[in-house]
Amino acid sequence: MKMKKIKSPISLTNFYIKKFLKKNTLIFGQNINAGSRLGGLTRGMDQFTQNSFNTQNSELSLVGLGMGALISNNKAIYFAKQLDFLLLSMDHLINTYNSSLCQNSKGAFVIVTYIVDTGYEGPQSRLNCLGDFASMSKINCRYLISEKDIKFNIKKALSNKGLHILCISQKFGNSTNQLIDDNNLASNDDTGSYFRYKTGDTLTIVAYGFSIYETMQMIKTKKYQKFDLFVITNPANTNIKKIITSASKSKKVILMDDSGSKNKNLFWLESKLLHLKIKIKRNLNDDIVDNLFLSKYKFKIKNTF
Amino acid sequence: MIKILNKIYNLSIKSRLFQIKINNFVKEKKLLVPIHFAFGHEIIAALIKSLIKKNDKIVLPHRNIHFVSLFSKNPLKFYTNLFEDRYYKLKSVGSMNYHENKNQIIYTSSILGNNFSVSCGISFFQKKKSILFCIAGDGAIEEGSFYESLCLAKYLKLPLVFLIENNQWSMYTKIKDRRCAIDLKKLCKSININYQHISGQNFSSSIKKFQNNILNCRDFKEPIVVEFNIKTLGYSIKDNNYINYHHGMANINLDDKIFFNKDEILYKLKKSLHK
Repeated sequence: MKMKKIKSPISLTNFYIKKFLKKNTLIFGQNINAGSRLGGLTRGMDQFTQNSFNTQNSELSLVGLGMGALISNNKAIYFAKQLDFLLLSMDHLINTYNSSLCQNSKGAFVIVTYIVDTGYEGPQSRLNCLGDFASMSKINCRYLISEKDIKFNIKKALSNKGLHILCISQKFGNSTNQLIDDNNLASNDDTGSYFRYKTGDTLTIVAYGFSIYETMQMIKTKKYQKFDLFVITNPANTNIKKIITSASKSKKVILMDDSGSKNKNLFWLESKLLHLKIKIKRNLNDDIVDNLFLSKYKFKIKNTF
Repeated sequence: MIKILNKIYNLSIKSRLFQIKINNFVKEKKLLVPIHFAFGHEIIAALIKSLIKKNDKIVLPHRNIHFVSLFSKNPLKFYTNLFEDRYYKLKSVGSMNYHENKNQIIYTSSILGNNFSVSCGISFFQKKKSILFCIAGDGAIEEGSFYESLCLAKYLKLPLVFLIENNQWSMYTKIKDRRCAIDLKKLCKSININYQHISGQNFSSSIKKFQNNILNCRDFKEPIVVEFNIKTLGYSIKDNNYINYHHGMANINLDDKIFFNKDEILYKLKKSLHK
């Protein structure tokens, strides 16, 4: 029997952007048509459109350029080297985008970038919480993880109006190991805020963004067999209804989040679960358990692993 | 030439009169939203209005009433919608972020220097032979975004006209009180971008050159920087100090100049106000 070749998230992103690319879309970024082409992310992109070019190193103006396309009802894709570089363009991500929302602009601007999560960044480039970006001005932010969600989210981003930020893990972007068995894909919500993989009802696991890589490792180590896994790809606007239903059934939830933010989006889900007196185990990037918050409830959350 | 000058004069008066009307609303406390008046800047909006073509677009900064008065289909409605009793009902965007559908003014920004790079993006998709006017002040050119956008416009061959209204003020400070001098001509030369300087003294003689520069921008997609030396009117004197207002009510006199000291303009202005 012929085995299906597994593609890495970078190859899949490249493939589906080219597949769903609209005519006259402006494609730009630093070195996108030179050198490694952002680790292969933009390979062959210049053959699909005439409006593709390498740019200068000025993130603020480059995001402004894309916002101009959005405001004039056109489409643009900006390939940025890494998420924290976008900090230079906060003015446009917040102010200009809010202004375009008031104008009801019909254009689309998609930013595709890497989240640096290799773990040896040092004092800089440590920003990895996409939810923080998303919460600033209703930006559609998505983690690109497995083939199903990459296809779904790229198609959505390239066909819908507004500002979208799509992120790939730098650590696992080139990984060709099969992460999740797509045969277990149970359902996802219409907006693609999560992707659900179900093998049973005894345990609910919720993995935010790229913590899914660690989650799969944990599932393997702990030999969990019957679980209901939710992979959150939209960090700020997750539809938690199905998660609550699943957790109410299993009565046991494991929450995973590797983002470094002090304002994690899973706290909202966690407060709901605590209210329902569901047992929670959590593995977060930092220890930020708010004792005051938890003391309201009569039991402790185990910080596991 | 006289025909164009006459058109510019009339448009300037129209804009001045409109602003006086809005200023009266502020004085009467009907308008509590801060308005950035552009008394003394009208000539720039009038010049663009007299030269602009159908598919050309304009991107404005926060001080934009002189353009709104000439380019909006119903400017009075825009400002009266800012009256306190209507402001919250209509969820208006404020005076700095003017927007109207199907208007040549495609974007206005309340953030200093924000509109330079957005102009590059809009300009990239401009229709053939059409250009984009990006208006900003001498305060905005201090932002790094100005230099970045000049480089971007030159590299992408964008048909963009950067109009810099240099009134020597930003917020409440004169240029010399906040920074070193910037020689825009030399800056443009270093990036190989055309530059033109226009002031009250050389206005009439500058129009022809300005038209040629616009033509060049239109035909060869060459960005250009045009610096206007103007004086924002409506100041006040306090403790023997000249105070430039940032926004809000302006102390404007009917005898204040419209860029040039032309008696007939003042006469026309007074006559039309009298009517």
